[in-house]
Amino acid sequence: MPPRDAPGIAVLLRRFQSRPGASDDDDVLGLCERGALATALGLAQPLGAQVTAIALGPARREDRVLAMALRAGCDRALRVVDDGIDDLDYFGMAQVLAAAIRHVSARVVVCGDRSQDERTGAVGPAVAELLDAAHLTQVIKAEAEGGALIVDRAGDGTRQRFKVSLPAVLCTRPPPVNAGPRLSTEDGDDGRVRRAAALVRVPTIEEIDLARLGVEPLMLAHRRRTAGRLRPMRGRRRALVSRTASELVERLRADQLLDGAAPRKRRVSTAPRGTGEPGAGR
Amino acid sequence: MACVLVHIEAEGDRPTPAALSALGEGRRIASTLGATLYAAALVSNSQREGREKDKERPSERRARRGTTVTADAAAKVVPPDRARAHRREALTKALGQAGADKVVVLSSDGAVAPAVWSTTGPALAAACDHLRPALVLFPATAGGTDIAPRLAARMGAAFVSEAVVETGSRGEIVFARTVYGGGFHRRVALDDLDRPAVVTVPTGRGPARGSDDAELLVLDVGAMRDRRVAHVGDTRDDGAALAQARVVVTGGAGVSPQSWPLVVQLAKALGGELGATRTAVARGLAPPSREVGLGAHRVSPLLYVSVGASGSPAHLGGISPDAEIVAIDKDPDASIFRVAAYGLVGTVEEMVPALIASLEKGGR
Repeated sequence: MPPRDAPGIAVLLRRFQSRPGASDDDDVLGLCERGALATALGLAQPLGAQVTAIALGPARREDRVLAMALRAGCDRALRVVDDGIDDLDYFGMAQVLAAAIRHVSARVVVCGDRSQDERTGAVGPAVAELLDAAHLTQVIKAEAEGGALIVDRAGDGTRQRFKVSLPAVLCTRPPPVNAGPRLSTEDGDDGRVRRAAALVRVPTIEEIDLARLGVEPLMLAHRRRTAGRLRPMRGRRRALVSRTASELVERLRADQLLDGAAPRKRRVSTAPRGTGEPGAGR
Repeated sequence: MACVLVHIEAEGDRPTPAALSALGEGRRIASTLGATLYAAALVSNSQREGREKDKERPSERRARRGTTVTADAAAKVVPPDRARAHRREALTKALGQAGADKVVVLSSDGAVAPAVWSTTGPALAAACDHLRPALVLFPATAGGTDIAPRLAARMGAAFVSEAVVETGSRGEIVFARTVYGGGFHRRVALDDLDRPAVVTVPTGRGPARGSDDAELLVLDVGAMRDRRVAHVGDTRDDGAALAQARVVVTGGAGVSPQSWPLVVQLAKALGGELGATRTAVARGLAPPSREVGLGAHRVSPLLYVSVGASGSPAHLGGISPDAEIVAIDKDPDASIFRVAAYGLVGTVEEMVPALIASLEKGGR
């Protein structure tokens, strides 16, 4: 049992989606969320803290994630339910998460630097703003030192070290490749445990709605329009596929891409990648 | 008139190439919108002291004509004589030449490096509070990705990460980005927003051209910072060259250990840096310092050659959206071909030696 004055740790998790609304059976957690879970659990003992895993969304999607977190060593799991959560932008989600973090009284918050699907990387810093906490993104490593944290962060070509006072939000990068033993969230390569876990509703996952968190749906209404429009890419392929290596080299040379010092070619088209422009693809 | 503000990271008095790239993007947007382009740089007073003794130069005289502003109650009004002392003529000139209409020097009493929210964010937020920009741009650097989202939250703004700037059918500014591993795109039109936007942009574009006549504004931000985060020190990252490289050749899961030397040779033939996907690193084909992908190295080259990589979201998350991608893979349906500009379908063993031969034949 952690001491009563120990700072609680909240780890914010989210089910990886291979496309909007579609969960992947093999990749439950994104790479950065794996880093977050490992970091949160690594800080629990030195800080003498309880770790609460928090996710937003329906049970059919997020309970897998929370069950994994509990198996990995989290003390508690909390899922916030509301029909409109998925339509919110980064700030709307941060408002809900900040309320959930206050609810569990956490002073250390760990989340993935960016999700693997949308890659926005804004929820963690926004949560920090709402909680008036310190924050760092691109966190590689975090250790407890006294009542503070020593945090290593990836800079541009450097590894930066900071001492961070609590409360703090850490947005973590993935754990290094081959970094010691895998988290016990891994269900085994045959997937039997994983499938069993998917079928059994883990009873320790707490469910909470916005009303209990004190979040007014009206507060969130205006955060539904800023996320932008999501559209599937039209056309199967954008790449201009060459038949031979020499043809490819000719094309690259014609487009001035083989001279490292050449100025970057300005894209004239207003269409984003993959829109199947005429002439593109084979 | 609408205001577009670009955050400038600088080394001494020189803006970084990434900052100039973002400023160039800001210039193009501001010209489209008919907006004033502000370049805002945080400058330490300690760096400034030496300059105060310098003789006045023509550019300083021009700069002295600039307005002096204050952000809010937390920032003090700077009298004109102190504003003279605060000016950064070299920075102002460089930013003016790169397209800025006005240069905002945020004059700080403390250290301003490294650029993270704790050193830079509160001062920048004060500047935004004063200038009320409709759009704030950051280069998608390690600093920009730390500061921008929190600034957006403080402003209650919309946020778009690593967006390609496009012009929509009505001539409106659109921020577009591919998501879900290239299967979808998300587009935010600036006109559709009822609030300001904070956007990070890729850093590979060249700077715009401006003039020497940028107006200087000095904002004394004092010791405005988040003291809960203290910088302890830096160590060098072994894979730093990847982030700066103009050409990157990355090998993926489809490259066997026997074929890996071909990827190395191709990188050499193109004069580029060698990268590896997470799977390739996990297999021991390359050291972790060479990993390209989400949460590893983010690269922003002119040319990115992907060899034997299917194009997973984790891999694509490390490539700047304005890099021209060449995909070489044996599977014609691999998702890498959805985001690549050029492709070659075939095995590594077949295609890479032929490519090296063609490059050597014609000279790179």
